[in-house]
Amino acid sequence: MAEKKDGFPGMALLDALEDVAPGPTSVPRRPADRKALEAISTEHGFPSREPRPAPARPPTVVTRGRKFRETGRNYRFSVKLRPADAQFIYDHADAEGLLIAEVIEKGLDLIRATKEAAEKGG
Amino acid sequence: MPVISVVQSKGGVGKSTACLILATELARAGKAVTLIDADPNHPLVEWAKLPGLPANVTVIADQSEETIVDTIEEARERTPFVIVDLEGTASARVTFAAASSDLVLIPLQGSALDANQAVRAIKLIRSTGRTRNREIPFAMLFTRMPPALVSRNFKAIEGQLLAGSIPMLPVWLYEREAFKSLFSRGGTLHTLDRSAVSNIEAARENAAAFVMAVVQVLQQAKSAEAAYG
Repeated sequence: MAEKKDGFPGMALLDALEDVAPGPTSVPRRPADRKALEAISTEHGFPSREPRPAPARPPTVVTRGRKFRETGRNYRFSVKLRPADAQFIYDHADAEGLLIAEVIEKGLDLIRATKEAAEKGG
Repeated sequence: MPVISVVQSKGGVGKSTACLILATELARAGKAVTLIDADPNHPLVEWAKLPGLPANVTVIADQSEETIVDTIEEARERTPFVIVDLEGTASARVTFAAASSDLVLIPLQGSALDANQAVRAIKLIRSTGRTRNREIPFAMLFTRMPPALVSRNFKAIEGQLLAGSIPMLPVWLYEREAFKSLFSRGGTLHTLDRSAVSNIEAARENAAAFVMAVVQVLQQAKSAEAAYG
């Protein structure tokens, strides 16, 4: 190997470059301030190109569709009415912003209340 | 001690070739060298798989900008010379590597495209140095130069660099078949089969002069650092 080493013209310079042995440099180095370096880097058009994980999303609440607004109205009730009564129900629903089912429920509530009052009073 | 990073965000200028020549010539002079391959294509890792890897050359693949600083610092503790080959992309990894380097080489060919990217790198290196309260030594390195004639483009670019007092390595790397053959055949310029590659002597001379120039620049940088205390 000695022969090869002597073949390099700048051997003295090369040896002088080395610190005594591999290891920490004689000049203490401050740890790199990553944030500052990143800012400079981005400013000069050398941005981070590492893939970043997608931002965390709030956990999704799994609901089974209509379960979310369950009404219990699952019985189909079809009936023939006099047109004027049907119109009364529609008009009342529109005026109060109710569903047809809610108009009927309100009617039922009234009937129950009347019955209760009659039983108490009776 | 010295960590040398080779930086150029334009691809194909011969970064890996410059790293490889530098590493193998230093190894030939008896110095242990770590080559950090921070190019996602890992050309140096591939080279190391070929036959003829010098015993005192270690090739390490670095994976990301998160790891580059630690990779460099660990290598610095293991071998007296560390050479970092960065990918041809303007990325933050370049900045992190430059911040940990004793010398940054910026290869460029005689074209405006290369020169523009080189100027971007210079601005980045200067700003990076300011955050570290030190000047990061750097030098332009003309690569893949045609051995026969010098183009007008090159002359114009060289003139502009001179006018801007931009440090330039006094030795260019020429476009040589032998340099390319290293990546296909493995080993060093001194293990390449003389019969398989033309004009290998010229390539060897070029490589030796290049490494000598780098050593001199490192020496000057070291003296300057010592002078600043």
